[in-house]
Amino acid sequence: MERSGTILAEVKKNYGQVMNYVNGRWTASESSQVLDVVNPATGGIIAKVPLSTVGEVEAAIKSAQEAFWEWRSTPPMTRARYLFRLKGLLEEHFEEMSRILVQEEGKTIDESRGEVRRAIENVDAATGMSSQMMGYNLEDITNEVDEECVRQPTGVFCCVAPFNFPAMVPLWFMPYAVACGDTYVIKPSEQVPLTQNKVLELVDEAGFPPGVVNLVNGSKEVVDALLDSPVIRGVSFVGSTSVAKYIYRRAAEKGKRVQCQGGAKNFMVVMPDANLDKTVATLMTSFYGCAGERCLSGSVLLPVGGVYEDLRDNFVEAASKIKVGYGLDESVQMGPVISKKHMERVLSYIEKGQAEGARLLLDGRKVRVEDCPGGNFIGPTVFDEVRPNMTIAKEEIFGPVAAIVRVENLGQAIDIIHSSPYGNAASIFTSSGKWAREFKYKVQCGNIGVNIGIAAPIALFPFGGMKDSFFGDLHGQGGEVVDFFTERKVVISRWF
Amino acid sequence: MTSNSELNTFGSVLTFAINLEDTARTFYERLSERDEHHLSMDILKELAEGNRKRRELLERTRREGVVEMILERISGLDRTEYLVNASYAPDEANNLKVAIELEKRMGRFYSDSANKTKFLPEVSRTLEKLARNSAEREARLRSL
Repeated sequence: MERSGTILAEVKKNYGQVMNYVNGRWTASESSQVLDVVNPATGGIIAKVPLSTVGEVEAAIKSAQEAFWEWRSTPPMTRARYLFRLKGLLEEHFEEMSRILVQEEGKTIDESRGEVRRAIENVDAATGMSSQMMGYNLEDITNEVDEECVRQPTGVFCCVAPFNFPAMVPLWFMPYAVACGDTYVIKPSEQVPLTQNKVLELVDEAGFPPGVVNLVNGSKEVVDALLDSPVIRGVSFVGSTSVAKYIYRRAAEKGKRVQCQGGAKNFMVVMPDANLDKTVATLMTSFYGCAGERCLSGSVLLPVGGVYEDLRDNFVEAASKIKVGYGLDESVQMGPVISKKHMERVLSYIEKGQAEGARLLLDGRKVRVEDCPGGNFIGPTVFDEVRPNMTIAKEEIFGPVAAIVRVENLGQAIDIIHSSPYGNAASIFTSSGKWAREFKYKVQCGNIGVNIGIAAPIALFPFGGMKDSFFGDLHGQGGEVVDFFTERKVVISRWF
Repeated sequence: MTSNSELNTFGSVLTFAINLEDTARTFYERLSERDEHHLSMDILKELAEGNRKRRELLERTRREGVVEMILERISGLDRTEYLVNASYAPDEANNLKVAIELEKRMGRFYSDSANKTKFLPEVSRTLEKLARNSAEREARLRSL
C-alpha cells in the first residue's frame, strides 16, 4: 500500500453508489434522490449516497425487530464472540479504513488512524459486557422472601451520526447495544457514509445474524422515520445543538430513551506557571487538530495574567508553521474543513471577528495548497484582543480559528467559561495542584482537561457534556451504556 | 511550513521507519542469494528476517500507538540524514561497509525519533528498543 515518500495511496478513486445494509444483505436504495460524496481536500466526487425512503427505513427497523428475540436469547458470551471477530477484522482493515476516512472526511492520516483506534477500543470494551450486565440480588428482604434485579435487553436502538467522526461515533453505541442483546440501525452522516459502510462490510464478514446490525443512508427524512417509529426504543445522536434539541424533543415525545450530544465552545485556560513549550504544543493539537472540527477542540484561549504575551507569540509562531494539505500526505498536519458550505461559514466568522474589532494575528484565508486547488482549506487563524461578548468568543465556529481573551485571574476565566451556554469541555494548563483542583471542582463542563488539550474520554468512561452540549440522562461510553441499553427488572420471590 | 524532507508527524516517522526496514531487508536478501559470499549466508538471512519482524513491530506500533488526543507535531528530524544508498555491489568489502553504515544510521534514526516521540511513551520505548537492536546488529557485522 505504501508509495514512495510519504504520500499514501487512496483506497479507491471512486466508491460508486453506497448501499443500505438491511437484514444481512446489501440493497440499493430505490430513492431518486442521490447526493455526491465529495473529497474535501480535492473537491472530487468519490461516491454517491442515496437519501433512502421511509419505506426503506421501516424495512430496516422491521428487520432489527424480527432479529431481536433470537439475538436477545443468544448467550451474552456468544454475543461477545461476534464482537471479538469484528475487532479482529477491524484491526486487519485498520489502514484501509483510516485512508477511506481521510478521503471522505479530510482529516490527516494520523488523525484518522487515531479515530479508528478509538473506534476499535469501543469494540474492545463492549466485549466485556457479559459481566457488566449482570444483575444483583438480596436474600430475605423479609423472612423467606428474596429479591433480585436482572438486566434484560431492551429492543431496537439507533444512532444518527455526525460528519466529523464517521468511524468512531457509531461505535460509541452499536457494539454496546448488540453486546447487551439489542439490535441496531445506524444512520451515518450523508456527507461521510463510506467509513461506516466499510464497518458494516466487516460486521457482515464477522457473521452477525441478519437484522442484528443494519445501516440506512439518508438525511432528515430517514432520521424522522427513526424518531417516529414505535419500534425504536432509544436514540443516540451527536451533532449540533439545534439538531440535538430537535431529536431530543421529538424522540422523547415518542417515549424513547435519548442521548444527544450537542455543540460546544471550549475554553483553554493557561496559568502563569504553565510549562509554555509543552502547553503550546498541546494547544496546537487542541485548536487545529481535525481542522478544529471536533466537539472537544479548543476555541477560546484564556491566558491568565503575565503569561499572555509569551503565550500569544509562541502560539502564533507554532500555528504559522502547521502544514496544511491533503491528509494522505503524511507530512501534512492539518486537513481541509468538510465542505464548501462549511468553509463559507468559518470564513464568515473570520470576517465577523474583524468587523467586531478583534485583531487578526494569523489569517488562515491566505493558505494555498497548490496540489489541491479544489480543496476546502483554511489555515490556522488567530485572533487577539477578543472580548468575551464578541461573536467569535461565544458561538461555535467548528473550524481552525482561535480567539485569545486575556484575563487577570482564574476566577475571571471560570466566569467567562460559565457565561457560555455550552458545557462540553474546558482545560487548564498549570503546574499548580491547587489551581488545577479549583478548576476541575468548579467548572461546569462534562470533560475537563488538566494539561490536556483534547479531554476525550476513552471507551471506559462516559463522554461527558452539560448545558447545551448534552440532552439526556445517560451518556455514551463507560458504565452508563449498560443502563441505556438494558431494562432493569426486579423480581421478588417467595416459595410456599 | 516544513521542508519536504522533514519527518514532522507520527505517521511520517513510522512510515519512514517501515521503509528503512524494507530497504535493509531487500539488501540482506540480495546479498544472501549470492553464491560466492564473504559474509555468512545464515547471518544475512537472520538479519533479513529481523527486518521483517521489526517491520511488523513498526506496523503494529503505527496502528496501536497512535493516541488521538495527543498528536503533537514533530520537528527536527530530517530523512536525508538517515538514508543510505544500499544498492548491491559486487565488491564484498564494500557491501559489508554499506551494511554497517545502514545499521548505524538506522540506529541513530531510532534513537533520535525515540527522543522526538516522548509524548507517546509506548511508541518512544519501541523506537528505543529498535535503536538498541540496531546497535547489536551493527556490532555483529563489525565482528565479521
